[in-house]
Amino acid sequence: MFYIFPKAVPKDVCKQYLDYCLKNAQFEDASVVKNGFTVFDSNDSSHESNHGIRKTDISFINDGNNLMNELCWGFIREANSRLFKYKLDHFQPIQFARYQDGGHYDWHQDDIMREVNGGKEVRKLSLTFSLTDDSEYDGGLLEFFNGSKEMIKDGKNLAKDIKSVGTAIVFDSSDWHRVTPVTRGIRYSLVCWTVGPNFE
Amino acid sequence: MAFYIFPNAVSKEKCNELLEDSISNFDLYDGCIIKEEYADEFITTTRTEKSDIEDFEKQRNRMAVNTEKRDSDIFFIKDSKHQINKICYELITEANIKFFDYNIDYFQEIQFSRYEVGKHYNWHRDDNIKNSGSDECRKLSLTLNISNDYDGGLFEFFDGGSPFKYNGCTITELLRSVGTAIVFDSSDWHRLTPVTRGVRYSYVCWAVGPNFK
Repeated sequence: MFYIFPKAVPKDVCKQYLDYCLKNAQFEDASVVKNGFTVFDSNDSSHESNHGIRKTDISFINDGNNLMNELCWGFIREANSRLFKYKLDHFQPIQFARYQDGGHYDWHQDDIMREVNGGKEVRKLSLTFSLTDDSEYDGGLLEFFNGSKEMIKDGKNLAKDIKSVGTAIVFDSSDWHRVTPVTRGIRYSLVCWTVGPNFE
Repeated sequence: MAFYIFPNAVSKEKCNELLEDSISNFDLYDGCIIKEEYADEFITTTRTEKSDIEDFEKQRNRMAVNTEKRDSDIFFIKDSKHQINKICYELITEANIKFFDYNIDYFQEIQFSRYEVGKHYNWHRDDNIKNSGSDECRKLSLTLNISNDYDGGLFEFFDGGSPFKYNGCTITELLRSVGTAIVFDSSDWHRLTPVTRGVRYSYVCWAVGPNFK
């Protein structure tokens, strides 16, 4: 299930956001980071240093003004109150992601299987916010597994909508999704997760 | 993506007994014509009041059934005292107590499924009703395999290319065994590949509860 905010932020504002993120970011290779947020990655424990699954540069943002947090959390709060209606406890730190030179992330889910977690909480909602104008890169499509058919709503193919700069999509963290390889240019995006008590 | 598996939970003898009983009592069950639009998330089912196998086939042929997504014959077991009810309910309940810990309100009627050669069910989720504005949804699904005289007809989860394993065996392999049951999140994508020889019979059951919070 997903909730989409098509072109919610104007292109020129996205450019400012991108500059702000680039200035406050320090990229690391997601497939080798062993601390911080990537320990939550369902793929991470078995695929560390494995570019076959994921080739992405990621960074926390030194977000002194809470600018990006407020942006992403606002979308998640709204989507949750309108559609999902989940109990949420907290947001996880925003991840600033850079996909270039074939950068990709194969099929995965953002929540972890509970026998691994053993905890009382679970990732419930994920957000992706597109910071790059779609004319600036090829490939790099965020796709959801939808039973070998394309995601179509009201006759429109959602893959293009999702790719548009300034678009936010909030989805169930248990949904299978991937980012196809970037074949030209650079794709920047923000990713955020929300955690709550296990589903009842 | 979560599941709880019960390898060989029901003995072969009991499975044979259940299978013979269900086959010989087809006409006691509600028939169900499956009509699905491939581009639509929602499943439309047209149920007959009471049908014998011949009526069922006739209706099936009358309707323009889109078989791209699904082509299978299913029957609902109306007798709430039928022994299969207890077997399925107990398995789901145990998996829920030991693992899922969901609020469950009730079970839906048990479905007896028949997949003959060429029959299949493409990728789908069982929790479609969650999109319909309802305040409840299917939360857990159970499949109990009761036959093995067939080829193809593989039960598969979408796993992004890394098959889920239990004790070194893939879930798909385990579910080929007669009497093996699996309880899984109704939101998980799964499919049944086309049967290429023989007939596959199984029982399917769903547990419904208030929407996830």
